[in-house]
Amino acid sequence: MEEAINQLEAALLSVDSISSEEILNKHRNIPPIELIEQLVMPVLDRIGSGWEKGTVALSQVYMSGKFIEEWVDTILPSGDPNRKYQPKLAIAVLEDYHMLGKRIVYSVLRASSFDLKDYGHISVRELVTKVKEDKIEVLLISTLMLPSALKVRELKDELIKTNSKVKIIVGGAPFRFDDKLWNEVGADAMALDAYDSINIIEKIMEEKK
Amino acid sequence: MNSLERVLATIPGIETDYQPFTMLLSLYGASLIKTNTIDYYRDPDLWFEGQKAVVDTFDPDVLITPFSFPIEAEAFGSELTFLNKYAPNTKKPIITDLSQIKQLPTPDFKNSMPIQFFLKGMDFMAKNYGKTKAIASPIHAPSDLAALLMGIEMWIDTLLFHHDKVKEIMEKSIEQFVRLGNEFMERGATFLVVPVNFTTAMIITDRIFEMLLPYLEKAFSQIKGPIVIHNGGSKLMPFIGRFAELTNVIAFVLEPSESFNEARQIIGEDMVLMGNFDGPNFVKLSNQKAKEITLKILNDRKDDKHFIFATSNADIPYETPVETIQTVVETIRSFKKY
Repeated sequence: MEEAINQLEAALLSVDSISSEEILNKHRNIPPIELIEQLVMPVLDRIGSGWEKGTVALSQVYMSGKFIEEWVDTILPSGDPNRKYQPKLAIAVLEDYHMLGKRIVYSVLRASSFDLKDYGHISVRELVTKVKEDKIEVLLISTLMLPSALKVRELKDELIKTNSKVKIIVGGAPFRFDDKLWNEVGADAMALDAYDSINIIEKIMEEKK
Repeated sequence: MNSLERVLATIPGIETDYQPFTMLLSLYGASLIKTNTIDYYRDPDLWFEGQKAVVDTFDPDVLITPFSFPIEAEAFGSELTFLNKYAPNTKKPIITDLSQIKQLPTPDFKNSMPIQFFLKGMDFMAKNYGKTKAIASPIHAPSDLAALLMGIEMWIDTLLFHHDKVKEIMEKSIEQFVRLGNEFMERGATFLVVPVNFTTAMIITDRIFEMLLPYLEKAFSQIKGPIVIHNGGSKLMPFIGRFAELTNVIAFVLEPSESFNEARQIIGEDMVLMGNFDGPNFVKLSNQKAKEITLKILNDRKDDKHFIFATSNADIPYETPVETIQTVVETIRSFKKY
């Protein structure tokens, strides 16, 4: 599998969707979840680490996640019983139009076989309604600007009023800059990046068992 | 030596009486005059009052004309969001579909409130300090303006899959860059400061960078003055060598974790280097820590005559204690460089 991991990583970093698909399809004899865990996840993890180290560009992270997300959808459509046991997840950007961070987290989570709703950019009031309607258990909020990050406090207060037990995971530049901010706005956790959000969700899943 | 002479001496590498320095105190001017930032970024008179307070309090060698890239995007119609004690941000990019690029009008300088804010701020600076201080004018790199106008997600897609649209948007942003850049130069700027947040290896690949280089050359070569490449919030390595080959580029402001020695190995001994002190992090530092970082940078560049001490990344935060900044200034002023 190591060779396939290297080949897939190289193809994704070259934004070569044809080769990427060929490499993935060569291993379709492996059950989907195992294939994701053995091949896809290690590659995405390497690409994410590469960005942290400065050897991979954000455009490559973004395109890799997007391609893999689409491919995973073909083998594991949304709602497929083979998808992981997981809480009901959603992701949103609060009253802001900077969507790239959300897009990357969404892609990486879906590429890792999580199923989640994408609420796009949304107001606090609308989000509270959606969380209640969809019975969301874990809500991810992606931010780029401080005003958007500070809105999480308002969101949390409104959710408390509805007796919601939803766990809020926040991420993005304002929270990375001020490592106490996530706690101050009432979030349950802060993810350093898309890959970290997987660890946090898995921890929440463990606690729920 | 006055500040202007001190700064200009770093270009040929002439010894100065003491280490020239600058800090990104555009936002901090509002803090010094205790005004809210919403009015501050709308009223050039108020903005200049804040900058006069910066000069009176810290006396930097390089002054900086209004620094707010979202306001430049606003000149194209982008929507801003304001939060007191912070610089404005772009709320919504103006381009939401690639078909809109063709119809996007470039700003009418005479009637554009955002552009007039920049130009009036520039005029105040030149009139009051043009003969004694170096004046730096921040302006978007054409490639970064494109990212701000359409959002980074659409920009990455466009760079990868729609090269004809890259050409279309770059033509607009080059036109804006050249026009505004030369307005600044003609009104008294010593040099332009061009952050490249979205044109670095953290965001784009080598191949995309190569595609953008001819556009940058086309833009930079039309500027009637020198250009300083600023790290923005990103890292300049490993593209710094190719930036250095662009026409009119004379200096670089490095990100705090980047090495001056590594940069020197790539760009040689003669270009001016600046930076390494993290501006946004200022607010978290004790006076002692601020002094330690300052001394570390000064000692690292002790023998470098082509060096200007400068903060990197974004603005020094509004809430930073005056004493912390003064500690850095006093450390620089009392440092025996030669």
